[in-house]
Amino acid sequence: MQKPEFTDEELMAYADGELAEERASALDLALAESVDLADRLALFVDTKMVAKDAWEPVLQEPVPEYLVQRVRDLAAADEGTHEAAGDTVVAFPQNARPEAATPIWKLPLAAGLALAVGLGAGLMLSQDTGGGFGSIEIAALTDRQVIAALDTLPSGEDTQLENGARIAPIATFFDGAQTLCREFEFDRADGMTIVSVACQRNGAWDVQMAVAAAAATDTGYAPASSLDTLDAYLTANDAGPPLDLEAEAAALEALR
Amino acid sequence: MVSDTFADDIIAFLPNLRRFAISLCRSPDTADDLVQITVERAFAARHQFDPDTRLEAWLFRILRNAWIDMTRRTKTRGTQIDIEDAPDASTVDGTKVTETALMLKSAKAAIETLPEAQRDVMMLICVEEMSYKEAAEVLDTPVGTVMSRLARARLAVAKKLGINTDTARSSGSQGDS
Repeated sequence: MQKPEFTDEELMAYADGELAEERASALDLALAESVDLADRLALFVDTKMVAKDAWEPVLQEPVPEYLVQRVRDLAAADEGTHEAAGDTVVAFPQNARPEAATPIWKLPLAAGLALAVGLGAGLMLSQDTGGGFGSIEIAALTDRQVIAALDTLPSGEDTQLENGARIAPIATFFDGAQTLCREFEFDRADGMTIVSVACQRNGAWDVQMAVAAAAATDTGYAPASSLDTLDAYLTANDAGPPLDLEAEAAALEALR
Repeated sequence: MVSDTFADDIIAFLPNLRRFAISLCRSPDTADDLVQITVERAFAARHQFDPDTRLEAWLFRILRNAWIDMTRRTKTRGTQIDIEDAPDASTVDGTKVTETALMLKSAKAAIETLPEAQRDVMMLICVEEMSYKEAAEVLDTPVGTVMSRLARARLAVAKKLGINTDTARSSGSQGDS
């Protein structure tokens, strides 16, 4: 007698309600005639039930209050930015800055920092000592493509450069001196990521700091202290919260 | 415009994010850090969220990517429980536990100790009840791969728990008692 063939994946999809209708109807019929098939199906039904029950208690554990509070703070910070944007062209956010806004700056760095390259105005991100990373140079702010990206590209987007590198503005903010600054990531063609902050000075973007992050393939040393480099910079320069996209667009437009 | 429900929806989903995080890093403290990074990234990138898709899937995706970033950075962290240390049904000390509780404990451990790729699909689909397509999006993996991993994961868990094609039905009916 010819038995209809059903793969494990089909039985599983049936158990999960994901099998295409026609095939599911065929399986309905076949199940009625085959205990073996029903047993094979039961395995998938059971494992789902058991998995769900086994992990249910974790769902019932109380969520730490600070996590809930963090979401509320972030939502409040968001609203604050929007209101500020509505008030004036670009409101100076210092006084309104929620205390909790600072940690947001840690975010773009989660990709892994490996080496603090240096601090200081006009730094061109070149390091020719024979360290493990070799020379770090992004020819930063003389490259017209980099400049164009900082001038126009909204935060959260990225663009590929002709030399294979990629630039991704992370956020735009005003520092304590009301200078417009942008934090961005620069992925070199060789995979190294550089996180940098550039600020407007005399109509040009001036690199204020840069931190090299480990490449995706790098399994190397990543001191937690390098996270502090950016934090220290932002704190020292009294960086305001990131502008929302509208305010950012207005601020960039004003540069022209 | 700021959507009022964005924050509320995230708060309502925190227990699920935390549960998925625990399955990934197997340390409640690290899981909480991971959830915090996730909500911060979610707010930073909220303009990238497509309201036609499910927020839950988007958040899981952010969380998993954050976890990948975290493991990339700290290859030598000591928070993961070794497979050998995972609670085993046979070593629960002297406490009287019902057979069902033991079974569930073993099941949790069985899922935790799956290869990562299999564990992730099992958590998302069997535990978090995402569709195959959603899980594929969270994991950035083709649906076909998700299905083959999920099938292998469930066969492996069934084997570890002694659910097999011969006993599956009877153990299923015993589960009601």
